[in-house]
Amino acid sequence: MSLLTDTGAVFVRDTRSKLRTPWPYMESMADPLLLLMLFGPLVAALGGIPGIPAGNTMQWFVPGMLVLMVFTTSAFIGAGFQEERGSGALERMLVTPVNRFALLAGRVLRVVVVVVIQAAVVALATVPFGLRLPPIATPLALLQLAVLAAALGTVSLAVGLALKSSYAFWGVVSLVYTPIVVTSGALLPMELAPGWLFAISRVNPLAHAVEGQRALFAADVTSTAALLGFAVPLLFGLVGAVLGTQSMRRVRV
Amino acid sequence: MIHTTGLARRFHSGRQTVHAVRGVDIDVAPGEVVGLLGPNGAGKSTTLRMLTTLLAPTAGSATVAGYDIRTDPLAVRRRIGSIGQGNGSFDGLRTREELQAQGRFYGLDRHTARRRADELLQRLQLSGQADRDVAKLSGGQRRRLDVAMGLIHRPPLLFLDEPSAGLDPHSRSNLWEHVTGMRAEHGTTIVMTTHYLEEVDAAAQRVIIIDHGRIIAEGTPDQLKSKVSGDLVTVELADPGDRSAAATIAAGIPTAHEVAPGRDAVSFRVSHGDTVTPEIVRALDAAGIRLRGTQVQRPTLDDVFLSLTGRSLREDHG
Ligand SMILES: Nc1ncnc2c1ncn2[C@@H]1O[C@H](COP(=O)(O)OP(=O)(O)O)[C@@H](O)[C@H]1O
Ligand SMILES: [Mg+2]
Repeated sequence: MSLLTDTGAVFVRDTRSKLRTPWPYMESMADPLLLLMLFGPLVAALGGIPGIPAGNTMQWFVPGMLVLMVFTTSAFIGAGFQEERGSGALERMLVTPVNRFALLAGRVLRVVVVVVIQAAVVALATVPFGLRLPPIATPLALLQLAVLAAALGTVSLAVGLALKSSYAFWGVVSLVYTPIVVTSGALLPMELAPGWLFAISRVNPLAHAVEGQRALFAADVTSTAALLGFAVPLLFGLVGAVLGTQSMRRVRV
Repeated sequence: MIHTTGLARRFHSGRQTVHAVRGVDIDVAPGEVVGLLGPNGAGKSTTLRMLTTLLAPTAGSATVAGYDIRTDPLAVRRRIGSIGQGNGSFDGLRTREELQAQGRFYGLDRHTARRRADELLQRLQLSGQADRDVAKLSGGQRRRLDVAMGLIHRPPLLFLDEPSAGLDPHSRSNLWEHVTGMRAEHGTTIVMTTHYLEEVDAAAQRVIIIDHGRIIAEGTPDQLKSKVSGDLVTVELADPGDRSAAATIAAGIPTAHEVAPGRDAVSFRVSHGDTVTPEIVRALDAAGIRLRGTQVQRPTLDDVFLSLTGRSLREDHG
């Protein structure tokens, strides 16, 4: 099956190059830990905010941090793809019979693997600070983060393909970055938001992921939030996959 | 190996339509080495991109290595190697990794990819660079890696787009040594473009001259040269005062044209410069004109292009 072996070959190549300079990944793991240390106490000190269950702030705060970490690791890989396209590297792959979808899938697989490792490390690192890891829900939470990473990575690649210039790519990123992070509810609960802002958060896949993660870390496996945390990113990723594959077929270097 | 009919490609940029390739008919036999020659923007890369399935033609058809580029691009890709205008390796990866990855993209299993990569690295004198980041390779080494990536699946047909652009003369001749060596060994068919006329001259058995997206001439380098200009004969005069008399004698030689008296020399074009030279020497001698020396220059491919278009190929080289 050429899709699988090709995806594997793309994955190996991509992983080798990225893991040789792992600093961005260290950084994106340090990010949530720093927020946890610096922002966590502030949230805890506020006390009694609607949306944050009283008592264990960690259990509420860490899931949001994990989602933000997934976001920084996977949402910008489209830029790297653009770089390969700008150099002759993509062209040299396109002259081979390699499966076009595998060129995307191998790269997405790489961020999925990275994200799962990162999330496991961060979650374990916060256990001493009071995070509980519910037995069945925790692996499910990791799986949900993997789905989110795949979705964000796919859409990022699709956007990177659609926009030929890296200026356009980073322009789009800086335009959507703040709204996406704020309305994800990772830092402060969206229950605090006025109606219009809450409405925006409903179309933000990150918001559903954050709520899904919180439900899972509360061991609430069968809740709607946990389900939407899977379904919304999945849908988002599928749209990205369709668009990405279409532009991959038409891609000119 | 290649057969195209009316192959064409236009681009739309804004409201403008660029006719990059305007219907070319190309036939390449197995084992041939064919050079595409033409100024910048002539449509050479666009032609290669269509033949290598990177770009769909807007008109015409082509079979490459036995398969239609439109209906069976995958079969074409399996049978061709292509070295594009830019470097195909990506900074951050190592030489062997990139080569092996390319083998995997061509469907080789891990073991075969590794073995062939090592063989090619050895052949192309890159073994010492196998574990270095490609960003650290010299221009010539990086280009040889590109060649290796195009050969990893042992294609019967190889496309090279400006393979030696930007290389110093030493790396250039080194690269060609390798390419021609591979060809001698495997009988690979080669289609290439280059800016360096001497390279086409030396390596190509047949030259296709392209201008404004059309083929304006084709043939062996010698055929092309003999068809158009003639040889450039220069007689250097001992006494500059003799130049008008010498020019008159030169103009009297059959087929002599473009007679140009210089400061202390007279040059003219004539077919078969080699046999004409003794003739003019005798005639000048008989007229009492003393010479310092003579030169015969075979026409270059640039002369060919000049005579076809009135423009020099070298003008837009930078
Ligand atoms: N993707 C493209 N979009 C628009 N115009 C293009 C594109 N690629 C090439 N062209 C134009 O087509 C013409 C031929 O280009 P090219 O085939 O690269 O020439 P060459 O390789 O002979 O220098 C040029 O005028 C070039 O600007
Ligand atoms: Mg070109």
